[in-house]
Amino acid sequence: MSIHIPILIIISPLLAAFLVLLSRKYKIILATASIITSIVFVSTLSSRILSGDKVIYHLGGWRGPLGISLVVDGLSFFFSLIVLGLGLLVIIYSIPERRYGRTYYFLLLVSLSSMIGVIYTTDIFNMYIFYELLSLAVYLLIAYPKTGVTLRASFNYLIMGGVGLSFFLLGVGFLYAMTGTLDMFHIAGRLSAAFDSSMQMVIMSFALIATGMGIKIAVFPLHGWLPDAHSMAPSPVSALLSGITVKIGIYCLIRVIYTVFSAEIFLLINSHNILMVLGVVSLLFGASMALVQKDLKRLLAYSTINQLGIVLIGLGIGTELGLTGALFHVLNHAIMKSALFFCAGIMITETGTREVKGLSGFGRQQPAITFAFIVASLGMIGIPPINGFASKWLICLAAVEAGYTFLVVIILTASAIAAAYYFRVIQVLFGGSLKQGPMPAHEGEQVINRGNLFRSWPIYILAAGCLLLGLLPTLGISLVKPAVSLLLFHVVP
Amino acid sequence: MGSSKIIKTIAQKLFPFIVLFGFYLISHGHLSPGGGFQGGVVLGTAIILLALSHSIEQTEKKFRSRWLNMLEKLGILTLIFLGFLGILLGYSFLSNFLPLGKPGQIASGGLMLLFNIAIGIKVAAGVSVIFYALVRYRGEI
Repeated sequence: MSIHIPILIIISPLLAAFLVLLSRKYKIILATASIITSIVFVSTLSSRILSGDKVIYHLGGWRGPLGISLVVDGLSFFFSLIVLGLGLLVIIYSIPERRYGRTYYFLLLVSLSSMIGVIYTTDIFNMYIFYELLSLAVYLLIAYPKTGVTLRASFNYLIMGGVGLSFFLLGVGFLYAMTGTLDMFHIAGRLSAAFDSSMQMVIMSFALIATGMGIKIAVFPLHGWLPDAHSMAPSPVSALLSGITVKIGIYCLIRVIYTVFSAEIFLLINSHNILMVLGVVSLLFGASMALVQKDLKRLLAYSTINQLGIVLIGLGIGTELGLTGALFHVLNHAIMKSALFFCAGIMITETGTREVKGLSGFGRQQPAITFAFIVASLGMIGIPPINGFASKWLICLAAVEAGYTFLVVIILTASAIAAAYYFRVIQVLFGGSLKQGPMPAHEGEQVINRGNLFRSWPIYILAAGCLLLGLLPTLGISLVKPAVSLLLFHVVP
Repeated sequence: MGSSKIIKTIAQKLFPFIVLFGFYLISHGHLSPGGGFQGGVVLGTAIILLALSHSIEQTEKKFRSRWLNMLEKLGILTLIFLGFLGILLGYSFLSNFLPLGKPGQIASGGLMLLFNIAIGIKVAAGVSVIFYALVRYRGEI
């Protein structure tokens, strides 16, 4: 049974998704149990992966270049841990909301299972299929409340995401035309020969794939869908989108750049400079747009563009330190941003308003939640004992080492702007007394009592994670280490 | 509804042949053009034809959307179960465990036939459920 673990991790949420549709009562138990099963399966692999081994599974017994294989190596293990851990917390956070019926849990489980599919598969077309499945589930999750604004945000994302994935598919088509296989490891082997004969096509396919993924991870000129989609979605879905879904785009970019196009071609066509420029632009743009937002969740959404800029800068630097910083920042941002969106969800239901101004006095009423919010936002700014500092520090060190001193100045400027907008929110939280907004009619006394337990624990866990990774950054770095050595040296440490 | 007697009669007479053709496409998917999805869509259109020519209420009495919903989920669950059978019998996920017959015969594709049937059921039910939902949107799918 143990050799089948990679497929079982994908199938367990998928099976539960369809069972959820059939059962009326046990939807939450089924959803939680399936994700926990997957986490258990992943953790049985952990010792092998962290010691630098990798697990390969051939679906149906067909090996590449014809068949589809699943691979769990340092990189995919790291990302699947983020997806499963945060996915479990998202499900727990949505338990008290009675409005979320079977369809909601179905879509959540389908999106989680297809995310793990994207992460584990080695077949680049299969990656496209899983990504499209994930996107379809996410479009529906954004539109789940069925109000006008969410439908518009979802439709906007549907168009942009569809265009982005079409670019990706076109790039995959070019790769297939050149190499005659879809298995990423085999493409990598055959691509250097193709690069000598038809360089234009290699560059074209890289440009198409990078553009497609650029839309999905919302780098500056392609970010149009993100603020609407991330801020209008229900709060647990916002956490899912900002914390996990965007990271899948980053995973695809890293996987395609380093596995398919191998680092040499990547450097040869100067694409690391492009990544760095895009990172700087979206860093500054996200920070300055977040500064002027009045809506709390919109502010957090623009802050996502800001933080993803830092990740792109780390990837663009491309040294060992830079990649470590970038991947560590992916983990940190996932934890911090989900904590912030969970807190924002509670703040919005308690105060009945989405405006930052309307939150005044919330800090006195709910000190614990506010403390978690402050911890996570200090991490976003990058203040020492919290985890965001560690990864930003690594990226700054890498920038200095590689001779890009101006990047440090830009990152520090953006951090200062981030401090400006997060401190504005924190200041309002401790401002005058709370004006009790109109409670939504469907939430009775009992629901809120039951809700606080399930809603606050995920936040406490995430805030504790922020502090833990900030005080002991070596924990996070040891998770990232196998991935980085795999990317740079194709060997195990 | 306002369909004439000619349309109603012809739709009724055509119905079994469309269903037969759908089943043919599903069962010969591994031998000739066609397959689970295509055959499933043909089966779905048979139900849609009935709904269009007769009234949708009458069609829903014969093909209830509750059952179709259930069938759709059963289709996908069968597919996953067949995949699991591969693991349970000692091969890998989705691998073939049935004996391979002589090429060209209907039982020559191993598991492919069963996969096609499961997908065909799912698609047929799915297409008709989507049609019901589009025609009479009730807010709960």
